[in-house]
Amino acid sequence: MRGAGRWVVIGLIIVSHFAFHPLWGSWPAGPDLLSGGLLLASLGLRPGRAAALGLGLGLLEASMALGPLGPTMLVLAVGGFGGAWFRAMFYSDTARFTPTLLITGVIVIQLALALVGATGLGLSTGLLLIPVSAVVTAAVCWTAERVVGFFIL
Amino acid sequence: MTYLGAPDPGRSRGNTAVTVVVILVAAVASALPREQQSLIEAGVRATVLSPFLALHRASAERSSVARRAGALQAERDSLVEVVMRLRALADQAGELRALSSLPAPNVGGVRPVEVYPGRPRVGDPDVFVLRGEGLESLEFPAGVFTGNGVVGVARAPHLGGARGEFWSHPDFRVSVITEDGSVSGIVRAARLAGEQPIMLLEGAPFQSDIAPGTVLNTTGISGVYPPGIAVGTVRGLAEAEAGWMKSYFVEPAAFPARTGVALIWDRPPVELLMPLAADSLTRPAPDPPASASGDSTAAPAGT
Repeated sequence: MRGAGRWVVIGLIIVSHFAFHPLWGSWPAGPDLLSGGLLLASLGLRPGRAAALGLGLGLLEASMALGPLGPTMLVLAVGGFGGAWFRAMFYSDTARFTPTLLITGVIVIQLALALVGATGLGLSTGLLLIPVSAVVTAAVCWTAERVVGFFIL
Repeated sequence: MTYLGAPDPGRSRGNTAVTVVVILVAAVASALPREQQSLIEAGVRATVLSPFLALHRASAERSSVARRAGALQAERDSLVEVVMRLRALADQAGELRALSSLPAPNVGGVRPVEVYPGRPRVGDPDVFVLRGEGLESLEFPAGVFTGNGVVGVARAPHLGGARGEFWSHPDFRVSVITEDGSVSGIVRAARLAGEQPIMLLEGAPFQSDIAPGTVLNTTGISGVYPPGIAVGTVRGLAEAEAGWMKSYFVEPAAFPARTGVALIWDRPPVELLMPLAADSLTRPAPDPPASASGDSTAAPAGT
């Protein structure tokens, strides 16, 4: 999906993250729509702008989740920058590229957030919950792209 | 233009400058003191996130009211019964105080607050933000509790609300006393591997034995919590330091995850509080065993 339709999907994904925030938090391996939306957005942005978007989303997320403000902003800014840089370095137009980037990116961002967070990173969280959450995130984002794309394009 | 219509990543000065500024802003935000970070968070919650928080509140209220309608009715009925019984006692105590020319006790008041916990993994699930009327006029720290028992402590104002910690936070401490007034100590959170946090009573005298099922209440000695609020129920002995003190595992009276609405204590001036706390510590046991009254009364804890 290209153009305005893709930005509508990204907007919906990020708004859904904040709208259903308590719900995602109550699931041990729920989708991380914030990271998913950020990574999708970073595919269409220059690294600097993707980092700025990550910074803003980090501020919102830290304020909503009562997490560490600076580290959350930094992790998401680096995540946005990394997504845009990764797309530029490993240019690909295959159907597998976006899900692969989403799964890898969400795992890296969630590991980093857990490491800088207050509760730390447990074995089951790092080896099971975060990878499952990343796969669920990629599936939700992929489905959202297809469903919204079906109605818009 | 490349994949997905994105512009070339570019190594332009503008792109580099934006990236550097972003990193600097994040670094500055990390270095800010906790109070200023809290102020920024409160500002974001009051503006950009305000519609989302209103949505969460409406959704939580709707589901909890529908789910708990029967239980709330039962709670109200039992409270009416308790109030009727206590009113007679209060009248009697008032008459006795009047006869002895003692001033009436001032226990302060409470204000209802909504509790917003931090999110696990991304945020800190052991901290919360409170929202309610008139919190800016309170003195902090102030105890937060429900009808079941102590929930945590509000540490600082948070732009019209307050920010605090649940009892599961590592910094939380509360001074407690058994219902019969025989043993006192300090309760803090304890995390056993792979389990939900529970409480740990520390500083109980070595020669005292607390039976499982004994209820622990706040002493009110620090002025953070009113006296007589339930903290938890003793589950069993955790550790005994030879000849010195004992620790007990305590089942919490209130669980953070189940707390949506709570009460925050609006305490009276400290000079009025001290006699109240002293009363709770020196209160005689209801039916004391003749041999146990001398050596089991512990020194009051200092928190």
